[in-house]
Amino acid sequence: MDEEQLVQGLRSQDPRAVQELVVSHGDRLFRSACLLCGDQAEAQDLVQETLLQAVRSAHRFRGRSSVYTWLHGILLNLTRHYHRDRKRLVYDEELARQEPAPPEESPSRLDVELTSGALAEALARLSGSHREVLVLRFYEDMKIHEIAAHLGISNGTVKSRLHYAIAEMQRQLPGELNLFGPRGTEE
Amino acid sequence: MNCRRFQHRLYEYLDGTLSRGAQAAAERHLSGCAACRQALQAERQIAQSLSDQFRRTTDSLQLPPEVQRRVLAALAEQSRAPSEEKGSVFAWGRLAWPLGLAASMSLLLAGVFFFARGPKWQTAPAQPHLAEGEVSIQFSYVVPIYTFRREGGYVIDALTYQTNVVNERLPAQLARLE
Repeated sequence: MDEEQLVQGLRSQDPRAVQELVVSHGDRLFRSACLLCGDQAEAQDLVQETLLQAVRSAHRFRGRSSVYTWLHGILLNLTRHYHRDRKRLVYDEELARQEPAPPEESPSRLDVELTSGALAEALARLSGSHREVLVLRFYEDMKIHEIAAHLGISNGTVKSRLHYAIAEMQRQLPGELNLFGPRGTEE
Repeated sequence: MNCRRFQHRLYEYLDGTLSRGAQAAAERHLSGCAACRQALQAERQIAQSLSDQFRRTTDSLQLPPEVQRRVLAALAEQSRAPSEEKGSVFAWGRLAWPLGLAASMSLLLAGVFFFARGPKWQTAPAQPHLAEGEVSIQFSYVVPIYTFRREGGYVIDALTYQTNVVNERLPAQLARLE
């Protein structure tokens, strides 16, 4: 089923088209939602709502972007709405200290978890607008002008947000993780 | 092209979206500027690191199959009752009560104001025994009602509207709004 057939199917709320939509884009959308909101259960709700809204508004889709980009736009709007009503997640040092010691695992597995946990915490501490540009740039692999179009802002604003978001990530992430290596010369 | 100009266009250089002339100028600048080569290398490393980390963090995540079932169930429910607009936990769950309250208050105030001002609507002939200066009002307002119900393994949410009619008398002071 190509994208045009998919959208036609969605307009008539054909269950096969909905299934195709979930199979084609569900996982990627879910992963992006996890990065954007920082919580799997909430990401699941966000994606479910995104899919529902997409089917209900398929008659308005004009094909000027890919189906995935259109879906992601809906997801972003929902995520912003969600974030307006909640405080940002804050890493709780006290709670972290109470967690039981992890079971014995190979060093490489532990390294991955340590890095991912630190990354998730650093992301959660960013503002929503900074988190958005990071996810769009480094997870969705969008170019600057694509992010600008997706968010409805200028290229300059995208670059500025990226600059500050990266600087904040560098500040938040533990130095020993060395995600970025030595930063290049600043202006 | 100088360092400042190159670094201003660094992202577009990485994206390969510079014009042919700007691209050539950037290449010429890079060939003679170690600081900008270092800045470019650092940005590439950041992009690679973050991209790898995002993927490593999320690669094992899969959208649970029940999401598809819930979406299909919600759509099926909607097609069975097309006049009943189905909302979402996100939007209507939060908005229903505040909206209802706001709508009710607006209608109440509007009703009081217009009935007090408008002589045509001010009195209700069907209701005798109004005291001196007392006014009788009748108005209707709509309350959105957000409900949940369990259906099989799913929770179905629905938004309906209930119209209420109010008949009331108001004291003389409120009749002197104008």
